Amino acid sequence: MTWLAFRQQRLSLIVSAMILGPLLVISGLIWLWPATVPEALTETLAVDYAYVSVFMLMLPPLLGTFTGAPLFAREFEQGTFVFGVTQSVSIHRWVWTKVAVAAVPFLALLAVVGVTSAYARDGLPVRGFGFFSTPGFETHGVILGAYGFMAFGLAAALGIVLRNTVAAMALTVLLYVVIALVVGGMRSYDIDTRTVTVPFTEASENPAATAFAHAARSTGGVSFLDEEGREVTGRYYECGTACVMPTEVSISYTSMSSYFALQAQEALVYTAVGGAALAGGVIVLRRRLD
Amino acid sequence: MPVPDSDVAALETIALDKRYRRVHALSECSFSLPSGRIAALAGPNGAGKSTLMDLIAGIRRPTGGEIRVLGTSSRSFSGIHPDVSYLAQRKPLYRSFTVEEMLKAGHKLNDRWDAEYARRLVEQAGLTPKAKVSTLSGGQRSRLAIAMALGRRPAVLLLDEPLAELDPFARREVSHALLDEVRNQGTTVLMSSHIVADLQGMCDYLLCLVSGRLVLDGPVEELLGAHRVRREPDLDGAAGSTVSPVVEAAPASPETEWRAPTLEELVLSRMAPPPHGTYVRAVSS
Repeated sequence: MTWLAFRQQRLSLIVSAMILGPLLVISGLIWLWPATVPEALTETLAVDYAYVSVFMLMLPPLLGTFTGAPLFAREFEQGTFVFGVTQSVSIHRWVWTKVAVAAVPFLALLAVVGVTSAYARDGLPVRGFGFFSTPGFETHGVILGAYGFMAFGLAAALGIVLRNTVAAMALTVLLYVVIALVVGGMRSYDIDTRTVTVPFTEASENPAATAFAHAARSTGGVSFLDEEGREVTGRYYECGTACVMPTEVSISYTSMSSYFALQAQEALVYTAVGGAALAGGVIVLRRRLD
Repeated sequence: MPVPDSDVAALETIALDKRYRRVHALSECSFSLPSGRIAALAGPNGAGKSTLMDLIAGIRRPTGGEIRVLGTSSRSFSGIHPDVSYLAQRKPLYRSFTVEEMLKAGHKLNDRWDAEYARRLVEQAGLTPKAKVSTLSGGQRSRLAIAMALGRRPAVLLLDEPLAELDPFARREVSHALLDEVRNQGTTVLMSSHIVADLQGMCDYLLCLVSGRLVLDGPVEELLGAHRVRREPDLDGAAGSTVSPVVEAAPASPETEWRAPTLEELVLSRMAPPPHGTYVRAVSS
């Protein structure tokens, strides 16, 4: 059964590996052996980090949906479901082997890419995305794998229920966005954020610079305030003397221990949603056969 | 393939029942199919043929009753009985696989798989091992699907509309190849079709389902011998025309205007919903 499942999933596994492999190699090198990475590549990644983040934000739903939706739906569409369940293997072995072979490699790879990219970000001169804010939170750490599992579980289950690959894909994307928005929206209530306001003189000399550097990587909020306490917008460091220079820096920060706890918490929620969807799909399949 | 005991029915159902919520798809269906028979499972659309096939194949569970294959209850197995093989109407084959990969899949998925035999059947069908399933013609796909079903070395082979969607030439080729093989191997076959003409000359046993109930069950020769078609004037009274009402059980003293029905006439006569009955057109004299 493993051979059959692997043969059926061969293309999607290759595509996943082709997408995630380079990400894993680059982030792994930046994290573990930064000296081996060409400076030009590091600079490019840092400058275009917004694009990289958006790309990584879309990876779990895309890979999960494209792997999960056809897993069972195509069997129904092409009638091969009957072939699978009228051989010597039990229906449960047929279902779970397909799930394991299709899901485990790409989800494991996705989670590893999430972890390595989180560590690799320390090696990039990146500013702008805090660890807790979107897309920083969703694109780094093990949660990347959890997002992928949720999309995969929903897509596979909907494939069983709807018996139509395209419909299962469309509904999966819709449900995924709704669930991610709801759970992500609740995140701010769980974060114990502290704010400090320190004088801003010269970024290179002021202690705020250190705090800023830390905060930019670990929190969602850094504001630069003028003499009257109003927020200075825009990229102040590019303005030169023509801009209103900030007098104070207001920094919101949260400890990294909260970050890992929150990642684990949300990863559990998404894993539970994916697992429940899969279990529900199998129950529907069993009932359909009764 | 286990050697069938001649005293034990190859396939037996006892008061088999299947309900889908409020719909009774199969009611009190009991029959005993002797080993080595090629049985036709006939009936109109919605009669319960596919349901009966699915139950025997272990794809669905019966609401009541029992299925026995070579004397062993199907309840002993979670899926299909190891002595049963099933070929569904859509010829389930993975389109992206090659012929060789399909055979490998059969080998990997079955505890009992005769790779040599399956390969020989594929070669006899003239199929290239490297050919993709998606490139095969309807007849070639049927031959491959039959090889996949027979590779399990079943004692009982279930065929759901095996000749559907085939052109007349492919029908003849596939049916000849299939019958030669199952007769040589002594495999018991249960073949469903709503096109009775397909079954004529192929089958020596008949099961006819109507509205989920078994209305005919027995060897074809015996059933045909026990029925006659009565010739009567046309319903419109036109002279010379011969329209006969339902085939009836043969009377004790045969009359000259009665003749033996064909398998098609016999089956069609049983498909008629009461009270009007099905009128079978007999041959004009």
